[in-house]
Amino acid sequence: MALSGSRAARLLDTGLALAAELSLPALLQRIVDLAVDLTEARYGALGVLSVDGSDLSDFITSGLSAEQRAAIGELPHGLGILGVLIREPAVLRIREIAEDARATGFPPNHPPMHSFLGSPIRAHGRVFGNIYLTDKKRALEFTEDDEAAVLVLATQAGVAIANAQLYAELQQRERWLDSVREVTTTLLSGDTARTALQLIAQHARELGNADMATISVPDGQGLRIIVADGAGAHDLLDVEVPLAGSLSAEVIRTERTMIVTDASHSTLTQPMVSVAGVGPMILVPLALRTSTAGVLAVGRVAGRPAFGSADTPLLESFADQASVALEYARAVSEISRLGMIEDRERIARDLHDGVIQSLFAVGIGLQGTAAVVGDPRLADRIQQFVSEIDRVIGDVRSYIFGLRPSVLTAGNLTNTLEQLGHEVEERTGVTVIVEIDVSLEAALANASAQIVHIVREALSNMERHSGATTCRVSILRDAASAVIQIDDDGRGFDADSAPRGMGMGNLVERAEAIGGQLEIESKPGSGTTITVTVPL
Amino acid sequence: MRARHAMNTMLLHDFAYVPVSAERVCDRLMSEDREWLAPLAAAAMREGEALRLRIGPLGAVPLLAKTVSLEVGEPLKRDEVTVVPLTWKATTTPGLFPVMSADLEVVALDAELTQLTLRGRYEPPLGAVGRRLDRLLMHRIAEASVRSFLGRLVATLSATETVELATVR
Repeated sequence: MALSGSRAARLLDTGLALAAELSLPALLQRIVDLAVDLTEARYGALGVLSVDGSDLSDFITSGLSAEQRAAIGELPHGLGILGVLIREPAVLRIREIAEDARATGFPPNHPPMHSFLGSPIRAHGRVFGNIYLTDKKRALEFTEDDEAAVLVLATQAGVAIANAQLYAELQQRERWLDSVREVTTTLLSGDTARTALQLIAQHARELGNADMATISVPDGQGLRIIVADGAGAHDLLDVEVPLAGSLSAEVIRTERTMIVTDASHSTLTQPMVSVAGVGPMILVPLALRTSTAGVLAVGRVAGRPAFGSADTPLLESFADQASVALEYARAVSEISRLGMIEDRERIARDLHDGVIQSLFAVGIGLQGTAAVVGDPRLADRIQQFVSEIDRVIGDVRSYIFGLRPSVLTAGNLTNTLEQLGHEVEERTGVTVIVEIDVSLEAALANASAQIVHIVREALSNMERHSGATTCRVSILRDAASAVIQIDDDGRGFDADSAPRGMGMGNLVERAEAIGGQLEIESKPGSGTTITVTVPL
Repeated sequence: MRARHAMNTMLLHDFAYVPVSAERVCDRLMSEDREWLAPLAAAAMREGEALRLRIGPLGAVPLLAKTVSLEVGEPLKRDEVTVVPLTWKATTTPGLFPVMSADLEVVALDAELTQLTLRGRYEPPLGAVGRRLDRLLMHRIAEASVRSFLGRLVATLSATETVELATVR
């Protein structure tokens, strides 16, 4: 098939025009417009194949007004004649669509179309989509020359699309590198993990071409959204994600990325769907050092194209960053806590070994001098200095003992309580189960000593009064609080009428000292549950 | 040791060695059952009081407290040193020192030898009305009581160790 001279010249121009366009959406429109112009078609379209190649994910038209497109409704699904090209990617020319046995008719409000010319477009070695042209002007059908021209145009389009895709990938990679750099800088500059996570969610949403993104982490019995970005972010923030029957739960369970074509039709729930009307989603597990502890979820509003496997590496890289941010936050918190303890230890040692002993030595020396001084007034005066030194010793000592919860010297809160539980179990034969959310340790560092006292006292009460065989000590997170609970299966008592003896008064005072609230639930024969709720 | 504002505070300082590891001494001092300590304090106080009546001014009034409580506070442990706060109270009539606050410092000297150092302070019972000489005399007796207490503590800890070792063998 030889092209006419003028057409060949126009195709040369189109090739140059297409090569100059680097924006893929603009390029696709340009291709279909040029195809319509080149073949003198009344209508033209470019159907972009879905990732699996079975359907159309985008449909760019030419010759139809916006009103006409709106009246036709949703995108074609690649049935009928359009489907023939999808299944058999080769040039197709039809004189009258309605007479073709493979035609399935037009939807309501679709303008009548008769002649047809279609050609596949290949880019990167696979069929990217198809050019569809209908209604040859001033003729009943498209010609062989049109067919040859479309074939050349499709080839040019394929090259241009491949270029545009490469350019888009390059740009995406640059943006990704920029965002990685920005997040890293945020982390290293000492900003809070939440700031870094917020930035990660924002970049994941933007680079994932999504409408919203959330990061949720374990909280109590479920997950909680700690950062949200995009449409509906305000409503999604701090929302609980159940660990049963949710998409996030499935991601945590499988520890694998999940692509959901339309989450609104899933039997599994997700706040993004119920709160923000999301359809397509991609959920990536946040892998911490020892466990999967959170989910990065990115979503597009229902009706938008689904995510593909090509989106996975990008979002997984953001999930990795989020994991690093969470680990970093935990490490910083731990280091800060340990640093504080070490500092206190050093100060306490210096004060006790140095200052107190020196003061005591001076005091004893003065006291001895007062005893041998003949002048009673002078002796009394010296004795006053002794008392003053004693007052200073008392102040320093109070400071030292206040510096550090000495009950925790053997280790952290978890170790101390486990040891305590073990001791009680050994001594009494009561089975003591200790369950502690270690992520709360840093937040409770300042309250640790009081918590140990509370647990010790509650266990002592249990030991002396309850006749229990099993006791459970737990510290778990509940929303923005830590819940400390000592629960036994003993004989219980009437909590409403029991006197506030048995150390209960102490427990209340200790709970209040750490800003907490104490509740005692007990009935005769039903065991006792002591709960202290401490706001975090 | 709580800070006081009275101006006749007396300081006490004494130490003793016990041939037991510091770890075991701390275990004993910090065990749930600390009732064994109070009788040691009571006996030490009785000894001091007997001394006061014997060598004190003629006609001295007995100040014997019938019972003595010894409260052991939460220890402060760091490296090889453990500081155990003690509060010694005469619970009926005032004794030589109605309340003595002290730190008992437990320091490991080697694997089987521990130094117990007691640094305490108290307000003499007769306060400002007591004659200075009386106060000084009573301070010597208080020191003797503290020494007696440490001696009894050492004896008890050593005996416990011997019994426990014997049981193990």
